[in-house]
Amino acid sequence: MSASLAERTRLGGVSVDGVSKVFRRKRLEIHALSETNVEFERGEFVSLIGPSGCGKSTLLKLIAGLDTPTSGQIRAGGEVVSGTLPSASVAFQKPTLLSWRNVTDNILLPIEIRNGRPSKADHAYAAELIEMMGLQDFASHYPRELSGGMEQRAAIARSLITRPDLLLMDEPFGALDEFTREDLNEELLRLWNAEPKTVIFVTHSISEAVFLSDRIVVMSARPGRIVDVIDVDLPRPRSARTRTSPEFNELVRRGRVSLEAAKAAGGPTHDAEAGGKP
Amino acid sequence: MSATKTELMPVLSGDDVRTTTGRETTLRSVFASTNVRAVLIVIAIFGGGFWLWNVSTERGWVSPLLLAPPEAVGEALGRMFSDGTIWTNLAATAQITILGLTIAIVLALLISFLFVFSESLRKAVYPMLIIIQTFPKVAIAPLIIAGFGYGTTPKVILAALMAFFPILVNALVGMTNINNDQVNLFRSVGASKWQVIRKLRIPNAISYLLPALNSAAVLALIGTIVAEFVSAREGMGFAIQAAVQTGSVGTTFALLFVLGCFGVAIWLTMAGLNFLLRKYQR
Repeated sequence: MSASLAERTRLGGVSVDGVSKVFRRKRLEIHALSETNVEFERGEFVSLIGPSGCGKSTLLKLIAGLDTPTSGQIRAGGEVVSGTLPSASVAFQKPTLLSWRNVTDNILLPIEIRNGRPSKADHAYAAELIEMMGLQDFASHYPRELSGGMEQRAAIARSLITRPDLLLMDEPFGALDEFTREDLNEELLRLWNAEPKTVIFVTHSISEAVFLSDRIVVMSARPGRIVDVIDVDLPRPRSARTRTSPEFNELVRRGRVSLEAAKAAGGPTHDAEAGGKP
Repeated sequence: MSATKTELMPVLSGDDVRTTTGRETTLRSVFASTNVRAVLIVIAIFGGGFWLWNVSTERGWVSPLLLAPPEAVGEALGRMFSDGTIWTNLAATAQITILGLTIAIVLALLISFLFVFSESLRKAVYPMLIIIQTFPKVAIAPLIIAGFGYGTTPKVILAALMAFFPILVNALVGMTNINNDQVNLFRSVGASKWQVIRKLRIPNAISYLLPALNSAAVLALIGTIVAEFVSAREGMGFAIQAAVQTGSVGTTFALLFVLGCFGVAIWLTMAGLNFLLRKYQR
């Protein structure tokens, strides 16, 4: 384990090679993901977008090692993913904070799990992340005392506390209102700029994907597969002004066309992807 | 989620709001406080109740066989405390209640733990426990006493039986009512099964256990009193029954008053335990 750990911690790039995932539910076979090939380069910000049931969350879970592919291979940092990666971190759609821990202790949870008691340096880094997420006045508040946006900020700080090379985000802002979401998009990019890492970001929102990403991977349902990849060549750093540029709007339009085609290819999308919004 | 959560103006929390109400304390502002009003209501209820009690016994509205006059209750209280019988009885009842409650807590936690580890064990045994739970335990008190003799054992069993269920059910719900995201979060940071239990399941169960412990303590007391009604040579249940049988209404009321105070003491002890558990939870 320790021999491969050094290698694993240098991870960042991910390659998905002929991966498919089939769920069996009472004789029914659901092809959540079929023969998928995609590369995520080190330090790249890539969004996965597609209609409900297209397997974008499944793909993310497979990369995170929370689930195993039915066939194919996923390599992270050159090594086959089996089990969860110490150098990867996951942010979920729900903040998933523990109600009995305050913000600081929630953020330090991954450290506690991995190393036992958090060190002074860990506490200092937690304080830094809290500051970066604008939560400095709420460090010792409990989740019930926070707004939805603040809870999600704390959850993101928690996903960064282990200094991951690979950040996997499953619609982290899906439940937030437009303004909070845009604020958090900008903050996420600031963090990503400050400490470059590979980010794979699942979303339902085309404009969010365009704003954040280097590339957008468009997926289609039934079976879940990749149907298009859009390169986003907007200059960085991006800001609120980016959103009003004609290039941005052109890319959003392209994304929409591609997504409509994906929807048409996948047939009607009535099946439930938990908590999904159109 | 709630309307009070303010994302845009996080500065506007607690402290600032309070300063806007001003500092000077007028008579009007004192009465506006809900605490002050609550205390006044309590005084009114107790004062009014006492007055009604006094008048109704004095004028013979209620038979002295049903309601003893305040002075009789006061006299009985004084007698019990001066000859020390109240302490003997209270100690006997307290001992059984605490023993029963402790056994119930230990057993319930142990079993809920086993159930978390083994799904099949839970599926097999839980329905049986439900059957025991639905059975009116007070009705089997004579049977337990016949089976286990007239000593402490049957009374402790009954007290434990009464307290066992709310603890088990709440511990179990708290340990298993964990959502997928939480489990995935722990898995994604590489948590072991033990860490999931120690950092997720147990703290979650504690939130459910806190209210359960309060009601379990009161149920243990009820179990003890019932057991003492059936057979005992000492204890509050025994003393109450003896007083009722000899027609000493004043003594009965005095004993009930002491029992009420004891109930409050148990409740306060549990509140203290809750506080300690909350600290452990983090």
